[in-house]
Amino acid sequence: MIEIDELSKNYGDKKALQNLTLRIKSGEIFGFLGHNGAGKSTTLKSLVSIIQPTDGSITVDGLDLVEHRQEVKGKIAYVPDTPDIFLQLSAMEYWNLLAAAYNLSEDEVSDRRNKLVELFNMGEHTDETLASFSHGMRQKTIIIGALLSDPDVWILDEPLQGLDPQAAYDLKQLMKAHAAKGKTVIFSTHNLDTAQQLCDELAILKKGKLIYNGSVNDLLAQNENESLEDIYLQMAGRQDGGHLVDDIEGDNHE
Amino acid sequence: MNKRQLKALLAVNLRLVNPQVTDRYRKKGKNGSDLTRKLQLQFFINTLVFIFIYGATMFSFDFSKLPGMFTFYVTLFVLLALSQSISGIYNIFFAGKDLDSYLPLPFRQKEIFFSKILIVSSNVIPFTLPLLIVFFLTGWRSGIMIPLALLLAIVVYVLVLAIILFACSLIVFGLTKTSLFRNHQSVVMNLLIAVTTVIAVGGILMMNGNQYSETGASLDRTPIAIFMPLFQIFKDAFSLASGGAWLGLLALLLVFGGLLKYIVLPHLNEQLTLANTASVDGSKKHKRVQRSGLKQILDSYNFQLLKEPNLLLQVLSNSIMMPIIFIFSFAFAKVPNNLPVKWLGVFFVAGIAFSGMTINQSSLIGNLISLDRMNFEFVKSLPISLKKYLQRKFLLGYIFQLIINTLILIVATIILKLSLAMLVALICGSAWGTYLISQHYFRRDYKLRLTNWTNVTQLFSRGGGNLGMVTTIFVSIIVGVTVILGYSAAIALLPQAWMINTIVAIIIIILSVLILKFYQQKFWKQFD
Repeated sequence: MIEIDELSKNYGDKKALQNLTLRIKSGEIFGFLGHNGAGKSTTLKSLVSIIQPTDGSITVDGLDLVEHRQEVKGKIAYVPDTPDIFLQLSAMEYWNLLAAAYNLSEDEVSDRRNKLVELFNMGEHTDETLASFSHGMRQKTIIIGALLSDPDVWILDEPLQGLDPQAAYDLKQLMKAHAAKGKTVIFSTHNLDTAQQLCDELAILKKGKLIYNGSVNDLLAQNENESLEDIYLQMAGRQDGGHLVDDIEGDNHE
Repeated sequence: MNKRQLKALLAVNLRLVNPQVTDRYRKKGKNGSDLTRKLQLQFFINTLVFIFIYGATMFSFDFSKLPGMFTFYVTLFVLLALSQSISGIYNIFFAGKDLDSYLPLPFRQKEIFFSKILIVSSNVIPFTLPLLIVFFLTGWRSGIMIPLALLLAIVVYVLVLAIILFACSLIVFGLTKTSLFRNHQSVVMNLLIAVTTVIAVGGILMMNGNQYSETGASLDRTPIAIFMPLFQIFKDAFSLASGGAWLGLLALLLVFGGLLKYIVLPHLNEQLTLANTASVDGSKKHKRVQRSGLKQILDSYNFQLLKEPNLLLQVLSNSIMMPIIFIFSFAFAKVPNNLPVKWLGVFFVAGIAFSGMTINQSSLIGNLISLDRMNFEFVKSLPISLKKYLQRKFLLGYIFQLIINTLILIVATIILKLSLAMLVALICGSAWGTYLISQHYFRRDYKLRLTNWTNVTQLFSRGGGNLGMVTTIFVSIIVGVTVILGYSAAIALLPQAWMINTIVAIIIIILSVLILKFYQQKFWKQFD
């Protein structure tokens, strides 16, 4: 169980996150939705210790993130929104680094790593550097690394970006299977179909504030005959730019 | 300490700070621990080569009879180590863009600290190896057996380096805890590096103004009291004074080490997270700017690149401090201040040689293209002339370097009380030399360009690494000094000075044409 209480983050005068309070249960896939700058990444980065919140607290399985940072970090694995990290390392070196970070022996990780490498079709590329990979290949490398420790909490920031359809499908299956084992999966996305397919529960953020927290089904039930896209755009703020599109592309565009 | 984590982190950092060497070994099929071993071996061999070169240069000094020279060299290289350590610690711990990659991982604080501080020390060692040589030569000439003198020198060198690194860590980590730092991160660090550089350069100039004094049979400098206990360790290893020096060293190490262990290390994660948060701070006000015209926008963009935190001062420090230290250490000579006109040519050549000593792989002109990061690839896709784009960049880098060199030469002229005519000759020589040498480093940056760098140390260590940089400075000084001495001797001793000056002028013109033609053909032409 992850408990986020009154979490706030200010960047100078700008309030990136305001008094966010959430409960994320084990065995759940939890999605964050929101426009650009809504506070999704700030929340996830606070959870994984990349940034320091201005106020509020986070506990993971009863452990306060600040007081037990090391222990909490050991429970979490993170897939960042841009996979441009450790570019000088080969894929195998990157996985070895993560194994060392999580104190896992070669015996403990090799079987899991080999299966993940096979799943993502990376077998021929394990000795190549991340710098030489495409965006999608880097993303796959990082996803494999994150799963090596079989983390209790798996956090992914817009994970489907840049993945080919097969890899995207495999990742979604992995996320479902991971949650089915009783572990927690938290991710952010702009893709509403993905949110609808995967999330047990979601949070919609707008300008740093939580505007909805509940299940996708409840949200759809509350707004009968409307698509999730329409509901989301009404909640998060809609700008009808149809006339501008006509101006730019002409009246006959499809 | 978790050795496995430390080893894993060290392996990553070794690759990060040696990107080009790493790529070279990868192309030869090296990977994983094989690659790490190769990188370590390379560093070790380079260090040995340097010990040999420095040793050969300093061999003639009998430091055991020259306590003033001993303390002069120790002060020089301690100042250099302080300045390099402070900028190194800030770069590796705080200014790198890799914090986001480390912070989510459950590495222990001790391992992160030691892996990073070892990398900082690997950057500082090449600049401070002369200390080791001075220690060894002093011990050996004082009658200590070679193996014992070597061991003693290594132990004291490691202790001194550790004390410097620990003290600098305390300064940098102490500063980063302040709210002033959190609100004005790059300003505070730039100020710190600037102050360190000014103190170091000021200290060097002051020391150089020190009177020479007769000590026994030799002409020595006035000893610097604070480093005399170190001299005692090597001069009289088993005396009471030597024991006091050992105690002092150990006490400093324990105090600084203890402060680090109990004050810095327990909060390292928090501090790095906080510093990282400040660096992703989105509080900057949206600035309204109105520029039109491609040239104006590109010039403004290139100026913005210089605002990379810490870069400018690091560049200045490497372009000013290291050459000054090395020039003072290995090539300084008293120059008469009332020289006739026939010496103008020598000063022109000295200006060219000076450019060779001050421009190196860490100069702005040698990094300006890589500062573009991925923008450079994007610019290539735009319908603008890449040649013109690069020419604007080159011009900016050249002017920047010329201003630095001119300022140093003006200061040197004042100190040496040279005439205005000689200063003009020096500046003209430096302007021409800077132009030619800038061509080399600009092309080098293009050839070795790195668009995914995470901290400036990575940029500076491209090619041959820091040892390569020191080699370049060292070789430039040796070649420069040899040429100037030869030319001076000819002017002073031979009757036909005008003829010698004419011959030198012809050689300079021919060489310049050849160099310009070479870079036109090999570099600029590809963008036509």
